[in-house]
Amino acid sequence: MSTVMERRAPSELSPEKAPAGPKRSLINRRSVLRTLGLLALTTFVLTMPFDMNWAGSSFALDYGVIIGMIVLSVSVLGWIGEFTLAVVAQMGFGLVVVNLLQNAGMPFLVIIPVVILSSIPISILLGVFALRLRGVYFAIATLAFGYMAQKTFFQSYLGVQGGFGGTDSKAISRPAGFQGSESFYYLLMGSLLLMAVICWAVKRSWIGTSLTALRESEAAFSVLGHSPGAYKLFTICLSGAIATVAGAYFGMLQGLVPSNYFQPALAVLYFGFAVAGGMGSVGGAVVAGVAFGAIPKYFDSLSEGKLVGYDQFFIGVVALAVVLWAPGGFADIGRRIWRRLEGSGPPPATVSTFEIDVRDPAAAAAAAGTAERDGADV
Amino acid sequence: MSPREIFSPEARARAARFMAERGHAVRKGNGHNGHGRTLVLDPQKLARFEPARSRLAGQLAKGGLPARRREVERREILAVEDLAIHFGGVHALDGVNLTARTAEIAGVIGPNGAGKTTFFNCLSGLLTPDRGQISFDGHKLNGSPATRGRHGLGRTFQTPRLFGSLSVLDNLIFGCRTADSARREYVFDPGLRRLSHEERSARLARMVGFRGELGAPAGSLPFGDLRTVELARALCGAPSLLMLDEPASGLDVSQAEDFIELLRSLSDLGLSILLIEHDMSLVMGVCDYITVLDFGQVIAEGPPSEIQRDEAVIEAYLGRAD
Repeated sequence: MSTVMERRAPSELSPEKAPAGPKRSLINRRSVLRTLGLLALTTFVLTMPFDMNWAGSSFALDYGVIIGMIVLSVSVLGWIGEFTLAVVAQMGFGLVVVNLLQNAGMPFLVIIPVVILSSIPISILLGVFALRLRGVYFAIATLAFGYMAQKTFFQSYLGVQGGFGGTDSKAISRPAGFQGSESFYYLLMGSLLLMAVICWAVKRSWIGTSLTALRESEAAFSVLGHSPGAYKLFTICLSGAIATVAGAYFGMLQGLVPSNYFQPALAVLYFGFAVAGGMGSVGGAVVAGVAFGAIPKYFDSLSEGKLVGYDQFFIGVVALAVVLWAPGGFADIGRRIWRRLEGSGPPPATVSTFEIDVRDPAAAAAAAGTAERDGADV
Repeated sequence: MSPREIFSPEARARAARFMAERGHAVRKGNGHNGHGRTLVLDPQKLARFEPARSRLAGQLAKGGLPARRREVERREILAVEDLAIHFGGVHALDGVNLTARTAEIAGVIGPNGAGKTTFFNCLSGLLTPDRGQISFDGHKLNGSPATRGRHGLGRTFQTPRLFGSLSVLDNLIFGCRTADSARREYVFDPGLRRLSHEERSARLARMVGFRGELGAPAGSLPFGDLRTVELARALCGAPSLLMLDEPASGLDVSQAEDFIELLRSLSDLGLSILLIEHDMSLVMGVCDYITVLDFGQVIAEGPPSEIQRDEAVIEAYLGRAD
């Protein structure tokens, strides 16, 4: 959980800098494994559209990558111990902005930055909720926002049945140069990886450490002279930008999107994906999103439509298994496997608000910082 | 690194002299019941002061002390007037007045539920009072807890609130970053400002008596270390007024002894300290001025010797014999 702690391990602070023999071999093994792992992952990512041809069209994969973006957006908010149910509405706004900009004849390279900028006002509006509300109350406020957006704005702009019923505008098209299924996949996957790298860098930076501190004790964080509001707004804006860009890509993938796709309740499903991936984890969110998004679609095509409707069942079974037996989610499972491969022993005892919540709410409260404790002193 | 290594020889000598004088005053005050009744202080607890006092008195005897004590400007740094807050029908604070001066230790005591922590929470901005004025360093104190923290109001909590999954060093650096971004000077040791965050944190951690590993997760520390690290973190923020909420609870005898010595040294070097503490021997020993709260109201205030003899205080603590 603590990024800085990982960078400055106790051994690194001690005067003995030169690694001993067994330690050196461990480091060598680690670098070899990391290089091999990176190569394998890169190969897998690059060849995925071709590898999965047997299972169905690349639509499933593209859809999975977009869901990966949305889950990443939800997971990012876990850094401040909150969860949002407004991601679907934010996606919808992204889709509408893309439509408007494409109608205005803007090129793709202009559209994406404008989509990101357009997410900021909505994020600030949600940030106002976050400054006053916490936990479930914040989630309910974001859900209410999602319903309001769906019932008013999206229904009139997008129409109920499909397409942009409320206007005469044309459907969203894929950007020039990315019309083909493989090239569009690479665009999506490149964008997802870029988002993941940005999130990872933020988490490793001093901002990430501050967000951890904020989550653990807002009172202590603030009396030390740091503004919780600024950090919360930053995180909500980052999360909102990812969700909005995901919505833009979703529009490009689907072409015509009816307003009923933006049912706010879908956000609960994405939140479940984020928990299964490991709330707050960048890698876990990406893996969970892609897996939960793509695999059910492949099942549909493999079963020639006989398993349509069972995707939610599949997702439910996997999510249930994860929260029961691996509360830290895919991220924790991956971490454990990786450490075993590296031979670096059991993972350090890290605490995630959500991973402990599942089994021991009291421990979660103690670890997370904690309204209860705050209240006790007041 | 002990306080002796942190402070200059002159400063240590001044602190030593000050400590020795105070230690003597404590002994005189304890058990003196010429007016009938006084607070009963545990002699064993008071004995904690003795080793430090003797050690410092020994240093005095060896000479090398400056001709006079350091001239620290004594001015009002905190003035609270008519502070009141209620929760439902409970008046947690009701018209509380208090002043604190630079380079002094002011104590706030009272039975459980008297409103001491609520008072601290109002000062640090975690609670908004119903009425009242707070002046800090000559200015009206308002704004968020973060703003107040940047203006030099540092505090610790009754239950230590370290960032458990971060390292001790990271916890301390949080304070240092505030000091730098708010361009604050360390009144108790101006030289600290020139050091890097890591060096500054390490020095202050050792100064408060933390002997553990700075890279260790703060959540893995024993309770006593949680307290000392939280104190170091507050000091890293370069406060002008340090508010300590029961800082000695959970400390063992030697830690408490060092703690008393530390508070006195800090105060003598110009830091103002506002202290909530249940350990009466500690409060009576280190505080220059004490305010007693009961049911949200000030029932007594004055120097420790007066407070020990105050009828209202004795009744609040021990009850009235009917």
